[in-house]
Amino acid sequence: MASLTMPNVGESVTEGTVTRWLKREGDRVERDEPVVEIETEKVEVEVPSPFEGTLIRILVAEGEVAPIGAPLAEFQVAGAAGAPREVVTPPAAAAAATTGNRQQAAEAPDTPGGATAAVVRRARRYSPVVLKLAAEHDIDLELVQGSGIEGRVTRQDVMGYLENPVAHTVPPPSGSGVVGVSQREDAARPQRAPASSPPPAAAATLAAATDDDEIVRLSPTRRTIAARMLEAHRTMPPAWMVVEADVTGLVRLREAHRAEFEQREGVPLTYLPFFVQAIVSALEEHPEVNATYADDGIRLHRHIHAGIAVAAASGLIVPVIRDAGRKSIAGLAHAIDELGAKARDRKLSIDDVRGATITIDNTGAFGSIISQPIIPPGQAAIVTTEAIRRELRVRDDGSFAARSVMNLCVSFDHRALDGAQVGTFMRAVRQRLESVRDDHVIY
Amino acid sequence: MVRAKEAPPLAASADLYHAMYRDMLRSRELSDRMFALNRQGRAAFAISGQGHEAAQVGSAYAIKRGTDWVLPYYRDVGVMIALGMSPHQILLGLFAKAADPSSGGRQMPCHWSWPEARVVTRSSVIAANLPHAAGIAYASRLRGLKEVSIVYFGEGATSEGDFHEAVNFAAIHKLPVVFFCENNGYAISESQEKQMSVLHVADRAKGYHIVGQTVDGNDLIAVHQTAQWNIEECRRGRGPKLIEAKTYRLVPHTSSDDDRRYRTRAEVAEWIKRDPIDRFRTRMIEEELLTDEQDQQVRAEAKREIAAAVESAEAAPDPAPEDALRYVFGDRDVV
Amino acid sequence: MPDKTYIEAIHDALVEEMERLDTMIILGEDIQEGGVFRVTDGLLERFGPGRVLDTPLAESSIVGVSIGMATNGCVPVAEIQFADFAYLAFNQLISEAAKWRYRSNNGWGCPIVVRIPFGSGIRGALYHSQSIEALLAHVPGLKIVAPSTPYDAKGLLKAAIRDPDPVVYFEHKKAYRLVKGDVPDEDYTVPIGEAALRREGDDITVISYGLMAHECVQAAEALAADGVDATVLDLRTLAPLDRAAIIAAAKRTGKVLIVHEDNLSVGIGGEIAAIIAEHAFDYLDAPIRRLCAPDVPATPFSAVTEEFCLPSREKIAAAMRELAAY
Repeated sequence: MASLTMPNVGESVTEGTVTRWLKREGDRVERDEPVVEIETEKVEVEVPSPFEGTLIRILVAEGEVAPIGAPLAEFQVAGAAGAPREVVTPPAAAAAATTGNRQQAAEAPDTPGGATAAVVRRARRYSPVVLKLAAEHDIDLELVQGSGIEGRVTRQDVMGYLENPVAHTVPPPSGSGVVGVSQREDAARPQRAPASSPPPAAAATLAAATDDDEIVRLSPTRRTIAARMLEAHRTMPPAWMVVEADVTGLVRLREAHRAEFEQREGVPLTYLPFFVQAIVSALEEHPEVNATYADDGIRLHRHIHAGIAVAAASGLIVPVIRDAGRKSIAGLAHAIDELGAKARDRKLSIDDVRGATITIDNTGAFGSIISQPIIPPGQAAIVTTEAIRRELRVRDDGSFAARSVMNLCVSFDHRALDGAQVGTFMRAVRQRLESVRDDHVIY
Repeated sequence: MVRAKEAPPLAASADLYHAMYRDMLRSRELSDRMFALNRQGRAAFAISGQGHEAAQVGSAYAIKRGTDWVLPYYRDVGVMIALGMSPHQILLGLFAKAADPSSGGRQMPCHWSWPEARVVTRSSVIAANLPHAAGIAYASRLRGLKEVSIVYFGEGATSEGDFHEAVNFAAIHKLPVVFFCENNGYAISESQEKQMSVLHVADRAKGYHIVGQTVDGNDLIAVHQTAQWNIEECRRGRGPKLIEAKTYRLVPHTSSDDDRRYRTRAEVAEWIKRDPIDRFRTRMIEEELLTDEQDQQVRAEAKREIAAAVESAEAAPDPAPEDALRYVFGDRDVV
Repeated sequence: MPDKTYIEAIHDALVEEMERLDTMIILGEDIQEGGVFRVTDGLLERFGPGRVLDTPLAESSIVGVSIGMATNGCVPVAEIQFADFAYLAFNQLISEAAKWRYRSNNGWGCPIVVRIPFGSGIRGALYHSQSIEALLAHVPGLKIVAPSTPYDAKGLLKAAIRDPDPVVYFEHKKAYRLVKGDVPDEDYTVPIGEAALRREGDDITVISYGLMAHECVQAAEALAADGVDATVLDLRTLAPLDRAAIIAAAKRTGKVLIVHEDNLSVGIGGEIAAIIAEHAFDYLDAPIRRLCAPDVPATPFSAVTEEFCLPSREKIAAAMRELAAY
């Protein structure tokens, strides 16, 4: 069975009228024999049969209109003599890509380095309108979740963030993460953590709002801290331990060297370098604590980068001493002083605040004797060093002595670590602090 | 084809001949002065019609001013003078002044446009205005007006496609157009045989089944009478005419042309002897229509007039720089 | 309101204006028998051979003679049969008509209209399919219009006829019988220099003209069902461009796709992109994209290659999707 279709007989003609059938149903038809007369706006023509056969059925009657390409009649084609005439459908629309732009794209890669480098990380490439909106509304774009290609932050993402910041905030990736500045080491992360729903606490505080409340706008730092604390709280089941260390020797040592050190080095000699050294050294012995929990396995970090919590004007910030184990007491003292100054002057760079594998918070500086710190997402533990107190202790032989003692607290991710591991680690820390003598190497 | 073999009899009034003579002198004096101003560095460019005065003035005096449409080309100083444009006005164009009637200093000098006299604007593109003349004539006919369009051009223009298209169209519709060719033998440096295979431009008329005539373009009276007859024939609806006025350009094509590169001084000297103004002076004196004294007087007057015009035109204000933005469209400013 | 085809709208405009102005003349090749597309059907019988004029096969003088007619008080509406042949008239359009008023310091105006059928998609091959509007839109002194709807076709032609300056009126030959729409019987004009917002949406902006504007609207309607909401701006006039409308449409979404049938390079699309980059830079959320025919001399005769070259509803929709996701 084959169809005779309405032919295209003129530019801009879209339809034609069947004016007269020259053959009837049942008639035999030779090839090229006129079968039907049609009329269009421009011409009247006789249509010759494209095949030899029998006219079986007329589909469009005389006087009726049909569009170009529509079947007019059906034919039974004779044996092998006539190939059935197919209704030619034009090939599916060719190149789906924009023809013009394909030309453009082939000629002008986005980045130097050619085609392979053209998989551009769009995560931090901000379009003019996005920058404009960010400036206008004081938005930290690092916090905004991008829904465009390759994670690009779009105009609509920023608009959405303004309306509902939490829903459009980027979830912090694991493996890194320092409170204060978010960063992405793996931009091509296929899965994202689901957007967090607004915390219930928010609803409660809203209910308590009154007219005489002063509203302090959330700075980008505060927003980040809030987001990350919540994240830590939600994802890491924390366990907590406290040990006490007798640091009488350490106190004596520091007193002996303090003045000369400060004069010579120009930076103070606090207890913190000693704490960092002890913790980092213990970590070298217990690498399982220098780790990150991930669903596909616990990552043990080869290097120890110690994050040191600093209270800056904008909030808690944690600059990082990289490869802290390689520094002497003096080196640590300098590093701590420098990072502290940078933090206060808001001069920390991205590299200064990323990559910590353990965090140390010297809460004792405020007089705290016990703290329950929150583990920074991406790390397995955080250690606090509490205030050194002068207290009476009972010696083994039953006599009393006045000793300098302090607590060390640790919160740890119970997914990655158990009490025994952490206990062993903390004992190692304690032992190191308790064995500081007058001959302790400072430089 | 009709050639004037003998000097035609004087048919117009003495006053008219005096007027024409005076205008030829003014045209010559102005043309000379424009070139001189260029050589003095006071005018950037000069183009003029020394040698063409009889062809230009003679034909222009046959035009019905204010009724007929005139499309002169850049050499037609004599036509514009005869139509009534003053030397001062022409010089405003030379000096590109704001009050230049043709273009406000936008076009090069002698690119005529003067609506009050029905002189139609033209570009520098040769022969492009021939179809305009045909269109104007078509409109005259459609509107039932007894107007004639006369369009002027050199023999080089007859090589352009637009010449052919315009004459063809005018011939098909028998339009009242006079195609007036001032054949001076040179299109810049190219002599006639490089432009055409026919001997006379007027021979081309046969290809369009219209009347073509040659006339001695340096004979003022012959030109005037020929032009008169042809223009009136047009007005009577007898179809378009092609007139070829044979003449000679006594100066280079423009101030930028060095004609020593393509013709001899001897040739030019020969033609200076046949200067149309001198010829007419001789004729006028012969016919006792002019005395030496009158001649001196009219020449002196022309000199004075042109000198005063140079002074007044050169002192006239320039266009404002922002004028360059105006009149792109009639109804809105350019962005 | 009656539903008319694009070609009927043009015909109506011509008839109405011929009736209103007894100095109007329509001229061109084959005009008297109705024209090769039948635009001028019936006009000879109605208005006579003096005002409905068959010209010789000489495009330069079609426009040149029109300029003369306009100079002497007539209103000429010339036709160049195919855009592909208009180059022969370019000298008259560009050296003469475009500069007429400017060079005469407003001494003369040149109120001519030149109608030019253009466009591809009808198996017209290299010399019956071209788009030439970019070449002429570049010339100061010419107004260039390209309606996409029957309503605009009638209104813009009337506006062109009444305009004091030369107007080149590009009519898309494929749209003649393909595009239908409401066309009032009354007299009305569509202002030259004003674009039309066909659709409003916040996700992307599509800017186009001619038959492609029609295709863009269809593509936008289809995409709306998938949650992509597009603003579609139909330029209608290509010179002078409606810069304010272009800038506003670009600012609304920050993502712009320009679609035209003319080939990509050095075209109308490039000009629009430059305007947006200059005046709406801070509102851009994506690089400005153009979807056009490739830079080949003209669309070939073979259906396969013609289709390959031309933007289509499907290609437009794909480009819109891609831009929306950027």
